[in-house]
Amino acid sequence: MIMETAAKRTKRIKWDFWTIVTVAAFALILLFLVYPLFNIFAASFYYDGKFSLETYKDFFTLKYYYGSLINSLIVCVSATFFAICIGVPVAYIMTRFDIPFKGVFHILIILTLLSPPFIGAYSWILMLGNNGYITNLLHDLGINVKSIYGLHGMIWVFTIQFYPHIYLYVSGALKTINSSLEEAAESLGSTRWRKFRTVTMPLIFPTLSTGALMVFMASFADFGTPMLLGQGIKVLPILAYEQFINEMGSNPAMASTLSMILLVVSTSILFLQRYLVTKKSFSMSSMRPPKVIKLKPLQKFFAIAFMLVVIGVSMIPQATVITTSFLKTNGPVFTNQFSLDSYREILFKVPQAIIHTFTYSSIAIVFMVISGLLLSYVIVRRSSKLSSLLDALIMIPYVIPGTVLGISLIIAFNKPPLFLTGTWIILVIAYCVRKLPYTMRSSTAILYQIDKSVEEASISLGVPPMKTFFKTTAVLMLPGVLSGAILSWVTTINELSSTIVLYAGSTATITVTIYREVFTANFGTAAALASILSLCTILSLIIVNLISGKKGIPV
Amino acid sequence: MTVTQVKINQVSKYFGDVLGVDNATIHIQEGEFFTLLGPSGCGKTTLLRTLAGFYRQEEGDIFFNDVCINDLPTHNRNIGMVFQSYAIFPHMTVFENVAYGLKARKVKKQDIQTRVMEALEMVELAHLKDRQPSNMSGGQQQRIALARAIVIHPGLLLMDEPLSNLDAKLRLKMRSDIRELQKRLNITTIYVTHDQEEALAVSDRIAVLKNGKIQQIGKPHEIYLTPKNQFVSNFIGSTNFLSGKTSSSSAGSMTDVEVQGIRFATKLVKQYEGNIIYSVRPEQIKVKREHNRYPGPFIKGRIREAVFLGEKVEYKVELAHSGDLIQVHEHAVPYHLLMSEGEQVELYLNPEESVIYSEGGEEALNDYGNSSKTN
Repeated sequence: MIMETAAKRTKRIKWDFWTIVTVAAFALILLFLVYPLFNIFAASFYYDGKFSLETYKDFFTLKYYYGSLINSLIVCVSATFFAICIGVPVAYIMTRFDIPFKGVFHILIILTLLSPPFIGAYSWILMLGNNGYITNLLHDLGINVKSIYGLHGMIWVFTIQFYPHIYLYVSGALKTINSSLEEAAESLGSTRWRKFRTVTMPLIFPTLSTGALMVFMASFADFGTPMLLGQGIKVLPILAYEQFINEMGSNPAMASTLSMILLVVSTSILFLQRYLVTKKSFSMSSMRPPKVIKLKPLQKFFAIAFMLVVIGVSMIPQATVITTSFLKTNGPVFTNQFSLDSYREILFKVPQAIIHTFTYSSIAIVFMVISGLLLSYVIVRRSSKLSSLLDALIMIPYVIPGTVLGISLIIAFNKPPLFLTGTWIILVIAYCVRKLPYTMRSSTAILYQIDKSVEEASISLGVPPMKTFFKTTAVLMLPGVLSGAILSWVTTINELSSTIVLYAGSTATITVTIYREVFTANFGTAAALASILSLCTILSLIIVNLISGKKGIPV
Repeated sequence: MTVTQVKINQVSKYFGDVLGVDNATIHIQEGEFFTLLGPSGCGKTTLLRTLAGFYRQEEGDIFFNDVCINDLPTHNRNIGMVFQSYAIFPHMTVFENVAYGLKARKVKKQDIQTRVMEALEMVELAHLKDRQPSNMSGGQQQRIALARAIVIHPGLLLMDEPLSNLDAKLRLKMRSDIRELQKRLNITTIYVTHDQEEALAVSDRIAVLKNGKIQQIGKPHEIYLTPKNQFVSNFIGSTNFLSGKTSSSSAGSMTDVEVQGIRFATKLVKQYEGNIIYSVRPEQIKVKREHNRYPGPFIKGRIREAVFLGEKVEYKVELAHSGDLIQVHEHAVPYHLLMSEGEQVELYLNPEESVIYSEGGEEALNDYGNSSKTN
């Protein structure tokens, strides 16, 4: 018998399947994320054919430019504040009080979140615009209200659209607070309000701030709402878009500079939130989940009334859109007659848009399911310095407003060797880049819950590693990955802000078409198209609920 | 079924610069129940996982039946493995879980049926074969895992702390079941645990590890009665360490030892002069009331604490000589001999059963028992 020892301590890089996945992921991210971002960065310093800080100087000195940043901040800060004012009470009522119909309320709130904001904006125009129902009604009664157009309109739409972020995060936190802490406060003689202020609030602060961040980012990056409601008052993404696609000749340098400003602001906000949280985060183990408080009849009445008002108001846009889609139109004006004309018209006029939306988003979703499965595995199970870098890179699109991503992709791919501008491929790429972080987040969350030994057990029983992955972990991950992916799919079919930059006439999607129809005052067809989106959103939500077998997890 | 003989030759496993397993050499016989025992972080699981092929050792070789398997991937090693977390496939029924390894081996469908049922009967789970395992109890899940591992007729059965997630009572039953099954099937088994009592109960031989290094290999009684160093002595069972001294000696001859004021002569295996650590287990000490005329040298003390546990009484005795506290266990104590706190007592150390260590506790100096020629 040979007893010699092989005394080698060599590090061997194994070129297995996972290495290939990692390398491919890096290649794609470098090409479609890092390279375009670098391009936009470079372009912002490139004016009149040479290096220049001119555009930055203009931005900070000309009110036309920096005013848009101020507008953006006013809108986002206010919307975030009001969303907190609505979201926190809603979360508290839903988690702590014994009110009926919680399940229905929950679904409706998520539905609000998933429907695109610009449809909300558009239906508020139908109601409170210069010629809106309510405006006219009140006018007839002799009351003159300010129309919805302007910053206050944006704040209103964003608040109603995005308070569900706050609700979802805060109710999650409220459910995991150890009730002993609150009981301790009570036993020390705190009143209920004081207890909420001194114990509950600080404990939910980290999650609340994450929710607030989501509201801020979503309002900051949204394109459709300020475009429809702005009427001359510009926020930053609109200005960037206009500088880029300008009838008077586009100004890529200024558009890039504005994009950089957008990126810097959203990144700073993200880090600010992270900084605040790291200083004040607690780990809570929910030994004893809080109990649901039985309300006295009058209190219960007010709680339910509050919920109904909030949910009612946030449902109005959906209801308006669906109702008006079945009305006969006379030019831009809806009549009182029922008709399917609008639907007939979209099938005749823009069937391509419907096909495009579903084809592109489905291709993107297939890609995202596969990469969600594979990349989360690389990041969770094969963790190394390289995979953490990958994780960080994948999360970058969180802070990239859609408009910026669109502009950066065009600047990067409007020249050989990769000429993609105007093709459908560039849209699919944009969707993948934008939504991958969300798919990844849900995939990794699931993977962390799956016992690592399950795979080892399979391998020890004689099944090779790759086959093991597909027979065990992949199967176990699939339900979670799928529900995450379906929710990403919903946000993809509703995507406007990067599509509007990237689409060409032949690749227009539903959202772009709605946007154009609204601008040309074809409210009927817009309503019909928006109803189709709403219907898909509702159906997807139901499917997700069936798959996950519990309350939907929002993306 | 080929029963495997395992040879681990000078195996070292590094994690970066940290040594997980340090130059381990173990030869395990066919059909042997061999246990790797040690505190957490001692390298026992690392060694097991290296044997399974989940880790590749940086140095040394591993042989199954004289075939070097250093580069044989896990799925070709024909091992059965039982995990601490059970690692049941949650998306399969009990039957499918157990059949999994057979399917991978392309066993005929009929044979799968009979072998799976046979294995399930061995672990008393045949009646639950169509159930989903996810909401079964920990004990049942671990039985499924055991059936799944033995049904493939592995050459080697590896068990990684299989009982540590079960409650105390179930643990006792499972460990005797495992031992019985292992002997019946005659599978070479390597078992990892941090529970010394469990190790003593199930094993043919035990290797005690600390910081990646094997401290001692031996049969349960050898490990318990003649621990090779202070660590092993302390880790297995409980023991008292008393400080003492030897005067000059030469190897093989009688040496004078002084412990807590008493002197006796004993034979050391090597020449040693200076401070020693005298290790005596609580049940090896006899505790007597004062002036009882029991023969032999004794240490005086006073009972500080007496805990009556039924089958035995545990005393904590403060020694008159040094003020140190010493643990004494007495079994089957008759009523009139029960002692209470505060009583003055005499302790008889029984030097023939005690182990003497060098000052740092690294090695045993005497060789009581003498039988323990471990490899």
